[in-house]
Amino acid sequence: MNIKIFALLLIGFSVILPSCKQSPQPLPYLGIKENPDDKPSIPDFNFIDQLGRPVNAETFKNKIYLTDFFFTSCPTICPIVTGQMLRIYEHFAKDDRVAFLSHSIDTRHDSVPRLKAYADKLHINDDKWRFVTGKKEDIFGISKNYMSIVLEDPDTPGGFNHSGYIILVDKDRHIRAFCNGTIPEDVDKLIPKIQQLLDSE
Amino acid sequence: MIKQYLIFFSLLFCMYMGCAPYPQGKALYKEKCANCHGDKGQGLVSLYPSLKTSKIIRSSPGLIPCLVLHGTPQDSNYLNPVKMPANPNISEADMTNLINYLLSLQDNQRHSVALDSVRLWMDACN
Ligand code: HEC
Repeated sequence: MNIKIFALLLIGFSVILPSCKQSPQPLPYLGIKENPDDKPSIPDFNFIDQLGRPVNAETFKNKIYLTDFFFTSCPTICPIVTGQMLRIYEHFAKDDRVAFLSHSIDTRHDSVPRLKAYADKLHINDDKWRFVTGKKEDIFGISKNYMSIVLEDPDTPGGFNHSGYIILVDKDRHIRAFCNGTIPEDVDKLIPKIQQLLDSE
Repeated sequence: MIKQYLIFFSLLFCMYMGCAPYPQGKALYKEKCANCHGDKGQGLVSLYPSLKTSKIIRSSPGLIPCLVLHGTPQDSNYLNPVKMPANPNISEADMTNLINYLLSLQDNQRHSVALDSVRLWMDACN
């Protein structure tokens, strides 16, 4: 055998084999912690969805969910994030264990009928993907619970209003992963983590 | 051998520099339109219309300047939750490049528009 090819094969195996054997690291518990072992969780909430139904922690009982913050008339990055949420939605369309929650940060204009019109134009299932509005201070308050993990991360640029993060929450309301919803490659990396969370629960 | 390399690298060069038609129109599109209408004009379900299959672009490009300059109004009856923003400061040359880029996204569409017509359309729009 040609020595060069042999060397290449050797290098190839030494890279591939160990990575095959390793099972993926368990997903971390994210959020602001006082002790390293803390598992911060999202507090209870009370919002209204596109059909005027109440949405609270009960709504996502025994489900994991993906969540973001947006507003319907957003001219800048929300349309991209919505497109990426839709991509994840389609990926897990048949899996009832996965739900979606998009919070409007424009609570003044994004009324229930407008959220309904928005959801209709995306052709999504109103039970699987909730678009919610509520008291402004409640939405902004809970955004801090979701976003704390993002702001804590030194690698991510600040400015929550324009952040565009997609956040993965487990069935006990712990944040387990997040990605930048404006970067499709970043979303590609989130999808296997969602599957991993499903497999571990 | 050298000849093959030459062909290969000129192809590569071509791909990076955008042998695609209307690079300026494309750049403007990426900056001002792609967020909603998608990287390649594919749109997003019924929320943001596809510009690849748009009848307006295909048959009435004269309507584009007004649409781009003024945007679309948000419906007061909530039927349309999304609106297209106004871009009041696009020059005639930029508008021409943009329209020609949009035309190039259509299948089997060969024709292009000239600066003179775009100027008339833009004047008629104010
Ligand atoms: C904030 C999102 C957004 C941005 C940015 C945007 N558009 Fe639109 N565009 C829309 C929406 C929504 C409609 C549908 C409006 C309606 O039907 O009332 C639309 C409609 C159109 C149409 C008509 C399509 C058809 O066949 O009905 C064209 C052409 C168009 N846009 C071109 C552009 C161009 C060119 C740009 C960039 C200069 C742009 N848009 C930027 C949201 C956007």
